[in-house]
Amino acid sequence: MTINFRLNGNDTSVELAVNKRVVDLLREDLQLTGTKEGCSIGECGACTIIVNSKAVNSCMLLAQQLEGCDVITVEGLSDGEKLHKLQENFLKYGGIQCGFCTPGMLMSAYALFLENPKPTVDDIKTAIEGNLCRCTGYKPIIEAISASANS
Amino acid sequence: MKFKSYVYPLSLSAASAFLANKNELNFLNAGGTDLLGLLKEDIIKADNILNLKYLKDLKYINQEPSGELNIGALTSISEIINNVFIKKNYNVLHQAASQIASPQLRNIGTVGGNLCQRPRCNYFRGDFNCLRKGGDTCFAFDGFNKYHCIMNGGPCFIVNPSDLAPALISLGAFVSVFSNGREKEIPLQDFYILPSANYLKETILEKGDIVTKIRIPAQPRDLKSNYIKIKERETWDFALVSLAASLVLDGKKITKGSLVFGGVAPAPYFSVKGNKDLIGLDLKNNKAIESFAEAFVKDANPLSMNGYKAIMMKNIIIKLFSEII
Ligand SMILES: Cc1cc2nc3c(=O)[nH]c(=O)nc-3n(C[C@@H](O)[C@@H](O)[C@H](O)COP(=O)(O)OP(=O)(O)OC[C@H]3O[C@@H](n4cnc5c(N)ncnc54)[C@H](O)[C@@H]3O)c2cc1C
Ligand code: SF4
Ligand code: FES
Ligand code: FES
Repeated sequence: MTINFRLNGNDTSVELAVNKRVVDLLREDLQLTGTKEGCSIGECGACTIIVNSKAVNSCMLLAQQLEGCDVITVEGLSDGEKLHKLQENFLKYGGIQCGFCTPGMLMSAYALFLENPKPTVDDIKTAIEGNLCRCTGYKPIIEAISASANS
Repeated sequence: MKFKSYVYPLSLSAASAFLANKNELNFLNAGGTDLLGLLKEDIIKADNILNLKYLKDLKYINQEPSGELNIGALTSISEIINNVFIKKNYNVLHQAASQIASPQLRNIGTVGGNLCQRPRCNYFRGDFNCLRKGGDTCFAFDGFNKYHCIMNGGPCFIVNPSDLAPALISLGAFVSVFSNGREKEIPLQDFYILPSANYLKETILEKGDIVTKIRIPAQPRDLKSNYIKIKERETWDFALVSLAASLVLDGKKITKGSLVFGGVAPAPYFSVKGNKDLIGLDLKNNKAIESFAEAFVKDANPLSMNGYKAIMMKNIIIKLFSEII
């Protein structure tokens, strides 16, 4: 079956198996491997992408559900070689160690900014509640997101 | 996870007819956060999957001049949380929605899907052909039953996993079901069935039925409501025990109210007698509260590993009362 949607600003049309999940569509068919798959059951947030301005788990969606939607993945954050301020601040504040959770964290933070450009620390904590990080202890991640909100 | 096609019906009747097809097993994909897990683990086998997203009239939150609130079945959990009217007036619903799963899953998951989600019993979700899957044994009865019911169980001992259901039932909500070409409305508390009546399904829904709407009748102006959910992890977890309360107080005395529990029974649990005994209860009187809570758990019939739930049930009542005033 063919599905049509917008991906990082570009109209996209893909022919795919009917039972494919979004995370597989992105990583296998479209070679967008920035999106990670951790748990596959909605419990880690590594696979987070943005669909119609909302953060969602790409492991919990069938690709068919994207029909007509506007999708942003971590690849859509930077402007060519120029990193998004969130990405810059994750580097600056040490919000990245192994990096596996980072794309999902970035997308949850980006979705938060779409809804609320001036979030409080509590808003930030709620927004990344669905993203597990096993390395950083979250503090530098929250600092990086806070700094991005204030710039 | 195999199925033949993924379709977008353009009307409720078309969708319902498709689902009702006797020769095929067809399922609705609302958000799919529960459905996908069921398909992946082969707990259900599907021929075709239906998505209702082009039926725009299933996604809304409408406040009527009469004071009642109508919520379309495809409304997301996040839309419930962000609705200002609900936040201000129906704290119980706001709190229940806010404690579901994670932000990402709340953005995908819908109200209809939340009410119709299948049980989380680890045997049901795993590779066990238990009673509920058509087998002849309930593995939880003698097995790992820490998360199972302490009320109204047998021959299957699931708990209803929905956080929205207790909150909505405490508000006296009604659910509309499109069935055989027409819509019927029933109290949400009558939507769920116990294993003793039928252990193969959790709701009254028949093949082809679609939940279309939730209606919350106008509430008293001075309604005080809350939802407390006890869970093992802050995020992603289902309730061990939860309590939805919608109360009207005169000073510290309850004049009207409803308590509905999650996590303790195969359907959201309430007690007609308990709700009657609420009336006149003085929230300053610790002794009275204690014996009220005690009476509520009198009917508990725990399995080998879930006796803690009876204690939790009692304590959650006391906690809720102490916080609501
Ligand atoms: C990691 C994780 C954590 C979770 N935590 C919680 C939690 O804490 N609390 C909680 O309440 N839930 C929790 N859930 C369950 C979550 O799936 C639901 O909350 C969600 O709202 C389901 O909605 P959906 O639209 O995704 O349902 P779907 O998966 O689309 O549907 C669920 C079932 O209902 C049927 N269905 C859907 N809509 C209708 C309709 N309108 N009419 C008739 N049948 C319908 C589907 O066919 C399917 O069988 C969790 C799920 C996961 C994966
Ligand atoms: S509690 Fe119900 S679903 Fe779980 S094993 Fe027993 S019969 Fe199956
Ligand atoms: S891989 Fe999707 S939430 Fe873990
Ligand atoms: S940096 Fe390793 S999981 Fe977050």
